[in-house]
Amino acid sequence: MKIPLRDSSIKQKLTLIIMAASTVALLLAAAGFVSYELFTFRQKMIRDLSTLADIIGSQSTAALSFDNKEDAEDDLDSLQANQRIVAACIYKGNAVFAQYPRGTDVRLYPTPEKAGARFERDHLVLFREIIHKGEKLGTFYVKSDLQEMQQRLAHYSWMIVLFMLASLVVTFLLSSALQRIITKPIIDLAQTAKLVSAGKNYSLRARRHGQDELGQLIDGFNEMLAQIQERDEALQQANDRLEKRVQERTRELEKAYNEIRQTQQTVMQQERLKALGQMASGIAHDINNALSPVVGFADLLARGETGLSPNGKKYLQYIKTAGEDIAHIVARLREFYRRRDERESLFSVDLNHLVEQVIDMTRPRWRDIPQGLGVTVEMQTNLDPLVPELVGIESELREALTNLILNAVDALPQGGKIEVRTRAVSLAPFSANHHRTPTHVVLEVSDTGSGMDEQTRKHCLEPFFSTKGRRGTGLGLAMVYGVMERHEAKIEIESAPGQGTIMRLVFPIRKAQTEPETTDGQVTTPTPLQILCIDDEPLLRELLKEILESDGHQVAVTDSGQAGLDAFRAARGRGKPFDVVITDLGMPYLDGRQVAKALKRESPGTPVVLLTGWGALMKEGGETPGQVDGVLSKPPRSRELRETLNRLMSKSNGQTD
Amino acid sequence: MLLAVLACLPARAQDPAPSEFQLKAAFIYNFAKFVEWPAESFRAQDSPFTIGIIGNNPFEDILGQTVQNKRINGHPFRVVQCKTLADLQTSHIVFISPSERKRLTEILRAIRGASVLTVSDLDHFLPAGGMIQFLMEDNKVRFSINDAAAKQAGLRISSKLLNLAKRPEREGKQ
Repeated sequence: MKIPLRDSSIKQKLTLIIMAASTVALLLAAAGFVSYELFTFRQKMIRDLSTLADIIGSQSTAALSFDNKEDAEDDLDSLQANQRIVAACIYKGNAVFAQYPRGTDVRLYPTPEKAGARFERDHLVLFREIIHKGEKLGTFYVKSDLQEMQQRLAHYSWMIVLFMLASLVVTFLLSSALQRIITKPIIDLAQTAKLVSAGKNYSLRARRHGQDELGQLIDGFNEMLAQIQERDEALQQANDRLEKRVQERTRELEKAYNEIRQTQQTVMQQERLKALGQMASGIAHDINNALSPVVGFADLLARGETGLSPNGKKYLQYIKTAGEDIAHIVARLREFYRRRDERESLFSVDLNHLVEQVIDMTRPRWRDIPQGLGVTVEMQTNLDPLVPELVGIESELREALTNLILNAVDALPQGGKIEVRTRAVSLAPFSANHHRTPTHVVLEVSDTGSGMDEQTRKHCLEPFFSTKGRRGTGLGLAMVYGVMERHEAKIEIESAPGQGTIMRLVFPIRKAQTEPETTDGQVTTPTPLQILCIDDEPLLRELLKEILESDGHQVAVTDSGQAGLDAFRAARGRGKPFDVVITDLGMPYLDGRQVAKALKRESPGTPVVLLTGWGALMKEGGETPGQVDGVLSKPPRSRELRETLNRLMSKSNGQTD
Repeated sequence: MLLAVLACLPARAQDPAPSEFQLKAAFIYNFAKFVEWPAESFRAQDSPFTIGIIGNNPFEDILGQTVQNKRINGHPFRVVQCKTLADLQTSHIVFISPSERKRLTEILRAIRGASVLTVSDLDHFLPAGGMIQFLMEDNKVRFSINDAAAKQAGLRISSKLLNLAKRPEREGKQ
């Protein structure tokens, strides 16, 4: 209950101050009043007592003069009328002459003093000289008690207490009412401040009550609130803007992140495919090297050797056919990674026509065989007649589509539906192309089959990856991928287990570069040529020599680059230079490239053909040497050799003539 | 009682108890203060207040000493021995000595008509026309007053003095 003054409310403080001030003022006024009253009362007492003394003294002059004590005491007896007088006497000289009350011991009286009055503790004492006709006859002494004054004082005290109580009550009521003039605005202000700080609501304002200092204070407070509100709003706006920016930035970041992740995945897949391709190419190279003599010599035997038994001829043919099968497989392996040969011409391809062709071709696989097993596969097409013509290699595209359809059939062991769709789309940004001119052609093959899980989907393009067990080679989709790479097209795969699969090929639209050429299949017998063959592998060297000589050429062989150069120079020295030089690429000390360089320096007109198992790789690296006029891959085939030589000879003839 | 008072006052201890005539001399002096004489009884403002003694002087020089250097209303005192009747009439107070018992009537007759306060020890002084008579009572000096005689002579005796006077005798006279 007891609150320290400084923590009590302003109302209580004001009341307390007013009460304290008025109490002190009242007390001072009362004290002054009482003091004045007491002072005047004392004066009056002295005056009254003096008058009494004068009367008694005057009456007693005769008694004093004539030494008549009885008479003097008779005179003193008149004091009985005043009950306040406790003692009196008349001195003659210094001796007590008459006492009041009578018979009082004279020793109880003081020695006479000069005329005057003084207050003792409880009494007023007065001495008065008795003078008659200018002669001092004696002294009068009287002693009065102060009971009257004390009674008066008590009265005053009671009066003051009552008066004070009454005025304090009135003061309290008045100050309670009047303090509102000051406390109301302050309490209002405090209330507003409390509301503001509790609700953080800076739109509130304190009410102003007047123009005084409190009014100024409230104005200042309101102004402060207004500023805070303004700043709050500005801050909020800045906050909102910031948040918006953060959100935008976050979205951008997410987008960028997704793009990066997709790019990363694509790059990773490409890297993996590249590594696999390199591995496959390496294996193919080695197999090729090993296979070349087998096929070559079998060929030579079958064609050149007379007197072979029919069985022998038949066996040789088997060997050759088997070898060529192996070479074919290896070639397909290499196809997977091969980049488009610059010399491969691109032609316009009618995609819709191609689709119909392939569906017809594969009819046995998607209709006849499943029907035989009691399963129905429904084939549908949805072809956009306005699809622009593609620029590409028709045979590759045909093979790729065939692969996709066969894969779809394989995914439908219980039957289902296959749909092939073509359409033209615009993938360019809207702003860049208002007319929505198609930029890409889409070829889609969808099936309602078993679908692929995530792992399968990721790896299905890799070579040797197959879900078909023994039936699959794992090269089908890898080949499709290779084809797409060469057409600068993309493969998109949408699939989920049980949801079927959509394989989507997206081709960019380009203009055809060349018109289709009439390929003449016939191989004319070449004019005999002086040919230098350089190879460090004796078997290959011999094979080459046999093939070329069988065509009627004159062939010289050397086993190293340096030996080749020496032979070339020697021939030129004899005036019978070589017409063509065929050199192996991978040789110790001086490799095929260096040989070609040296030859061109000495005789720029002489065609140089590079023979390599690395042909594809070399072209891939963009390092087709300027010095080389043709590249042949191992194992050298007679047909290819002939075609190359023909081309070179007609070119050089054209130049020379 | 008086002795007790004197005993209390060592300053006056050397004073012997006052004799009868010393007291009477003091009384005569005091009568002058409580009686008013007509203004015409004084020739001037400072003319003397005369106390006359007729007959044998019982005070010797005590009376003279008592009033010596004292004044009443500005008048100095003078004590004279009256030898002629004219001396009596110019006095303000006349003390008639007991030796003049036989000439009392004659003396009073001679004074009649003049403002003279007559004082005496003689018995029956008041019935004879005297104004203040000393009495001895319990060894104390008292007095009686014949106010009518005083009034006849034009004197005004203070009521205080009258109150102090011995009443039974005065009543007995009136």
